[in-house]
Order: sequence, then structure tokens, then C-alpha cells
Amino acid sequence: MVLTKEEFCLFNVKSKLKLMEKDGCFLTTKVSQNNYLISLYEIYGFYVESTYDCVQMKTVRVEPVLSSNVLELYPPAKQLQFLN
Amino acid sequence: MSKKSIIETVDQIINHAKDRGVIHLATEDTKLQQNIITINDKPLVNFGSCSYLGLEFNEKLRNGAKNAIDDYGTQFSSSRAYVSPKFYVDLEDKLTRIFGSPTIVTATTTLGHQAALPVLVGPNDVVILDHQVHSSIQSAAQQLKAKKIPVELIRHNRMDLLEKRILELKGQYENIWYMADGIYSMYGDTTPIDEIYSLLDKYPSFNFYVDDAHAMSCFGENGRGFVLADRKIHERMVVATSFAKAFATGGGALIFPNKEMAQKVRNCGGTLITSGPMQPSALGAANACADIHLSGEIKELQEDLQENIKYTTLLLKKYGLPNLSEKSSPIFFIAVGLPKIGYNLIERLMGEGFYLNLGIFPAVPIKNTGVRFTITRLHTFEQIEAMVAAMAHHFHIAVEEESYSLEQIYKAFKIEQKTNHTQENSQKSNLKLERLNSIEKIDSNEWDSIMAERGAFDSEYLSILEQSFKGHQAKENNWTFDYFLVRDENGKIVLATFTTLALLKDDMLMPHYISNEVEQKRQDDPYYLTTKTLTVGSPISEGDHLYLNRSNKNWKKALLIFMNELEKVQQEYNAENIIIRDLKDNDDELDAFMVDNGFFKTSMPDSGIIEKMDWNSEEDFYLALSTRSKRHFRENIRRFEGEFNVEIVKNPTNSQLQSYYDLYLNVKKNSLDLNTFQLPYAFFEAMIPSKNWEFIELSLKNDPNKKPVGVVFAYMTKDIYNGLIVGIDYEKNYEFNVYRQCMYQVIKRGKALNSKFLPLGFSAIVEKKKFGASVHGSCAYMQAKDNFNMELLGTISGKDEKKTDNYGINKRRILPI
Repeated sequence: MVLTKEEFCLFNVKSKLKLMEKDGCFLTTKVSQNNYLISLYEIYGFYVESTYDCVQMKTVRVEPVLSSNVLELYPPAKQLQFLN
Repeated sequence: MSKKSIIETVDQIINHAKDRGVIHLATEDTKLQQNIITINDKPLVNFGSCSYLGLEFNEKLRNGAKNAIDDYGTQFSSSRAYVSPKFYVDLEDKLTRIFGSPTIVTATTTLGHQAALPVLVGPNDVVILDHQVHSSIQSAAQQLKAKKIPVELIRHNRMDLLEKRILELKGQYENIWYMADGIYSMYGDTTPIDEIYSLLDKYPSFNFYVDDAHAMSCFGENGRGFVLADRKIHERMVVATSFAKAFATGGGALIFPNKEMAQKVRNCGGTLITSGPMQPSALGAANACADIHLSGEIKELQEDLQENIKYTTLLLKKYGLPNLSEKSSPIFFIAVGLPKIGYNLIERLMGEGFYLNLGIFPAVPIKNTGVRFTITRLHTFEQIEAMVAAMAHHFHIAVEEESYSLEQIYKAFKIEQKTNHTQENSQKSNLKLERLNSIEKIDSNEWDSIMAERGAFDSEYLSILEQSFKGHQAKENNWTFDYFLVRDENGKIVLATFTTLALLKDDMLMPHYISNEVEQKRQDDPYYLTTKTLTVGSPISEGDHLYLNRSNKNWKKALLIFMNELEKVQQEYNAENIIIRDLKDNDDELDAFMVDNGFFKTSMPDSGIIEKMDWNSEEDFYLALSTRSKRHFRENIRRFEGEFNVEIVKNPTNSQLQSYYDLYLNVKKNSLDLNTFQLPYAFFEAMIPSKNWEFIELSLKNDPNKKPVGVVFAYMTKDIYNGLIVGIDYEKNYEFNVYRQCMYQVIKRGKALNSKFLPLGFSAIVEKKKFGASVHGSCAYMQAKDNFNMELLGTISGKDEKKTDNYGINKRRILPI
């Protein structure tokens, strides 16, 4: 069953990761400053970024991508198109 | 008089569910794999577990149990009043920290109630039970009833009614105890705790006893449950909880506002002294579990569970399933309406690999059947989505397959229909239903050809009823009639019957001693425990009112079409109950059909029928009686017959009719076997012009005024002489056996008119047997929108324990799991 962005945001980080594992598709990843590994997923027709803290060794944030500008920050290997 | 007890009805329903393979099951696994259970060689995801946090597989708990066995063996066999193993002391200390109040561990929650209630509730107190409170509290309350402490029932979660009752009772009793559940085990709804705390603050004599079993560990700081989640225990409140659900160890606990109260229950609570203790293994696990509750770990577990609950709630909503549960409860209830849809859906889901529970009568009203399931922390999102998707798919198929509709389900539960689902009726047939609102609109020859030989409801009788029961001031005397005919493709009648919408007394079919007690309350409130009811037949007709041609292969379809129409009529008239009455007992096929369609069976009072009318003289009649009956006849009938003038009156004068009516009222006041409202005078007036009604008047020869002392209001059809109503002078009855003479005169008159048989009606069955009447047990099928009034009658009957046992009234509730 497809969830909306709003419904997806009702869940905590742990559950969001479970949903991404179940229904999402990994697209690409990038390393940001401060040792964060940020991965991009597509799920239910929208993009989601998950932020992994390499020091704490855990995912600290999973949020839908709200702006297409964010996609330009990823390596160009993937053809990314803003979904909605 | 043979009365089918509620126990038998419940037994029938449960047996039926068992035959369908949806209850009384057993796992076949030698080693459980988390939440997968194997039943009938099929692995199923378990959606029926109350171990909401999935702690049964927790390493700490398992080690706690193992270590305790290593240290203390498998049991420590001593009453706690003498000596307890140290695990108890440790556990109670930890629990006191968890709850912030003195706590006593009990072997089970049920035993906890049985220990606490007789100590807490005093002889000058009164108890008010929530209608849906768990059966373990209801059972414990029986002990209070035995001590003559009043125990009342109040509609579920109705704080307005509770406050009203507190105001009424507060001067009369020292303490008023309200008993409820924290989270209710069927619908997963919660007690209105904020309002209860307000009442506790407002009324010093108000006390609250609550069973928070289903909320333990899942909610609140340190897992202290729903009612104490974020507040201190009130000084006039006691909480019982369970370790047999999310706490995962077995056992229970009582939480008190102060040490003195706790110590008193510890000292005097019967089951705490005499019942066996928890075993070391359970205590070891419980101590380990309490440690988890006192650590931060419990929050994480609770959060995992809440996420699963949230996901389930969201999916149920998105799939448009009628979920009745509150959003944070781990218990879900999907409305399906009828038991047959519940069986169908559960079977289908088991076929898809999911085990769920059935929420069925008597835990819920019979037409409020549902699929009840639970969510635990161990469920994965994949499992939850697969189950909900399967349920959504099969829900609509099951509803259609059982010839029901979503609209009917939503109406039965009084919930707004939010989804549209195109439904095709797969049960199309060539049967055609006709509904008419007056007997005048039906071909009387056709009606009489099938109905006149079944009882007193031929077209003329019904016409008189229609005329008599309208336009009255008293609402109980205004009836609405409907007539139903189901025909096959050739226009032949497969089913015919009529219904009456009338205000009936809820105890109408109850034993007389219950009616007796209710009637005392009706002196202040004449409409106490009365309900607008749609009845097949009428309150004053006798016989099998439902013509059903069972040689027609579509008879069940015809019955289903009629019952669906009946439901529409019920909605149209806003009737609370439906009764299909006077059907033959011991009809297993019909029983199963009716139960599947949301009716439960109850017994009617036995009726007596004189079936042998082949005697030629009074002497022949006498000689055919048994030896004992012959003696009775000589001593009580023949001996007095010469004292009476017997007259068949066709057109009584007004004063005659008034004296007959007075005699009828005498009997009405004294007979509660079939407790109906008093019939209006207009009905008796309407008999006079009818060629089929006549009056057998008995007066005494030694009375120069020939004042009637007995009367029979009799209705004749072609083959049957119906002595329907009797009136007697009780003073003369004592002296001259008027009642028996009336009965004998009915028999003689029936013979004179060449009747094939004589129905003698309900009640006084021993008397009727003495005249050679055979006894006929009949039953009624009932459907109630809610169980409250029936449960209330159950509490009333509980005051007479001996009789209660005979009828099983108090044992009618089986309990929520």
C-alpha cells in the first residue's frame, strides 16, 4: 500500500527505515561534511534522504526530499527527476 | 416447564464456531518461531497474541525463569500467609517502584479480584459494573451479591449515567464502587479516565476499581499501564493488572493507594491466603521483566509497539476496513456484523496464512460480530501489510458470499459508511418478496389456506387486531403490522408470515420470578426494561406464525430474503429487537441457520395442546385419561360441573363485556409466565361483531344475579378452537375450581364444533396435562441491537441463586479472552 509523504512522516526513524527496506529503492549516496553518509531512496513515488552518522554508527534522520535542488547535490551517475 | 438456558445457546454458538475450525485450536509446533504458529499443518502468523511487547522470547526473562528453577526448583509450595520465596519480596518491591504505590502480587488477575473485592467492598456499599467490564470482575462481584451487596449494571463508558447514579445513591450507601477495564478486551476502547478522576475528586463516597490488564507494560512511565500512565493513583482507587499479557510471565498484581489498604487485602483476601503461589520460574521471569520496566528499555519496546499499531491503523483506514478500535490500542476489531461472515473471513484468512480471533456473542452482541486481532512488537511491517491486504480482499468476498452488505454492517454498528464498494449480489434467485402493511391488501383465501390451520391468525383475526391496536394514548397499545410473502418463479408461496411492531417487556420470555421483581420496579416506572420490538406473530396470537415450505429447494434463500427485509423494517421503525417466535424446538438445521445469521435461540414457555379429539362422549374423554388424571377429573372437575351455568355468548352486552374484562384483569395481574402489557378494552369490544369470536361464560347456579365467575375468550377457525384468553374470579376459583372448569368447557365446546385439535396456550402446563394435553416446547430466535437489557435482567435474576442455577441466567457471559 502506497503511503503519502505526510503519512510516511508520521513514523519514527526506525520505522521509516523498515518501510524503505520493504517498499523503497536505493538510488545513490553521498558523503557530507561532519561524517554523515546521506543516501537517497525512492519510495511511494517520492524521494527520501536518510542520514547515517558514522561516529554514532546509526541513522539519525530519514525525511522526504522537498526540493528538486537537493537532487543536484548527488553525483550525476543517476538520472534523477523530481517526482512530485 | 423446560427452559433452554443461555448456557445452551452459548454452547451452540461456540460449537458451531468450533465446527468451522476457527476456535478451540491447538498449535502443533514443538518449538515456536517468534510469532509463527502451526495449526492443521499450516504455518500462520499469529495475530491473536496478547503478548504485545513480545517479551516471551526475551533472553533476560528466559534466564530469569531458568535461574529461579535452578535455585528453588519447580515450585515453592506454601501459602503466602506462611512464607513466600524471596522472589516475591523482590518483585513486590520493584512493582511498588514501577507503580509508585504499594503493590501485591497475585497468582492471576482473576484471583486478585477475588481476594480484593470482598475485602474492599463493605456491607453498606453498592457496586456499579460497567456493562463491558471483564468477566473476571463480574465473577468476583458474584461473591458480593451473595453477601446481599447490591450490584448494578451501567451502560458502557456512560459517565453521564454514572454521575446521575452516584447522585441517586450517595446518601443511601457508604461507598459507591464503579468497576471497569482500563482497555476493553474486545473493541480495544478505553475507560474515560480523566472524567473518572473528576468524579473521584467531586464525590467523596465514589470509589474506582479498574482492571488494566491489557494496558500493562504497553503504556505509561515504566510500563505502568493506561490508567496510571501519567498520574498518581487516586486515594479511592484500586488497580488490578496482569502479567499474562505484555509482561509475558503469568501472574497479576493489585495496586493500592496506601499501605494500610494493601495490608488489609494481604491479610484477609481469601485467595491470597488459600490459593497456591506463583511458581519460581514465573517469579524469576517476572523479576527480570520488572527490571526491564525500571530501565529505559521499556520505552523503546513501547515505541516499537506503537509504531506497529500506527502502521496497522493507517493501513486499515487506507483499505477502507471498518475498524472500531482506538488508535493507540493493540487490540483491533473489524466489524463484520453476522457470525457467518466472521467464520467465513477467519477461515479465509487462515487459508492465507494468518491466525486471528473471532469476537462473537456473548462477548459482543450477536449482530456485532467482528474479527478481533492484536498487534505485537514482533510483527513486521511486511506481516502487517500482508494480513491487512488479505483481509481487505476477503472481507468483501465474505460479505457478498453470505448475502450481506457493507451498508448493513455499518448500520448494525451505528457507524458512518466512509467507503463505497460496488457489491453484486451473488445470491440472485427467482424468489420474489412482497411486503404489505395490512391484511386487507392480501387475498384472504390465499392467506387463510396456509395460515388458518397454524393458529389464531387467519385474516379475520388479524383484521380485528389491526382495528383494535391503533389510536390509543398508551403507547404499548399501538401496534404496526406488516405482512410478508416470498413466492417462487411460479408465484407459489415459499414463505409467509406477519410481524408486529410493539413495545414489549424485555422479561416477556423470562421466568416469572424475574418478571415479578421487574414488575415491582415498574410500579414507579411503567416502561422500565421495555423495548420497541419487531415480532414475528403478535403478543396475542399463538402458533407457528412462520409458514416456510421446506420442500422447496430455495427455502433457505426465501428465509434469508425475509430476514434481510426484516432488518430493513427494523431500521425503518428504529426497533431495538427482533423476535421470531413459536418455532419448533430441536430443529438443528434451522438453529444453525439462525445463529449464523445473527439470532440467538431462547425458549418459549411450553404450551399444551389437546391433540386427540376422536372421543365421542364425555365418558369416552374421561376414560382416555390416565389413572391419576381420572382421579383429578373426578375430584376437581366433574364434582363441580353441576355448580355452574355455562353459556356460549355471541353478542355480550356492554355490562357483560365489562365484567368479562374485569375477570381477565384478575388473571393478568396474577400471571407473569408470558409477561405482556395489559390488553386494551377496545380489543375485547372488537371481538363482538366477529362471527369467529365467542365467549364461554361461567356463573354459579347458587348466585341469583348470575354474576360471571369465569370467562373464556375463544376464537374459532375451520379446524381449531382457540381458547385464547381466560378470566376468573379468584375467590370463587378457590372454592369451585373455576379455572379448571373453564378449561374443561373449552374442550367440550371444541368437540361440539368438531375441532381437530385444541391449543390451550402457555402457562399452567401441569393443569393442562391433567386434561390429556400434550406438552409442546417451542423456541424463539432473538436479535438485540445491544445486550444491555438482557444483561441487566441477568443481574436481577442473580438475587435468587437457586432458580438462577436452574436457568443458567447468570452464567450467560463467556468472557473476552
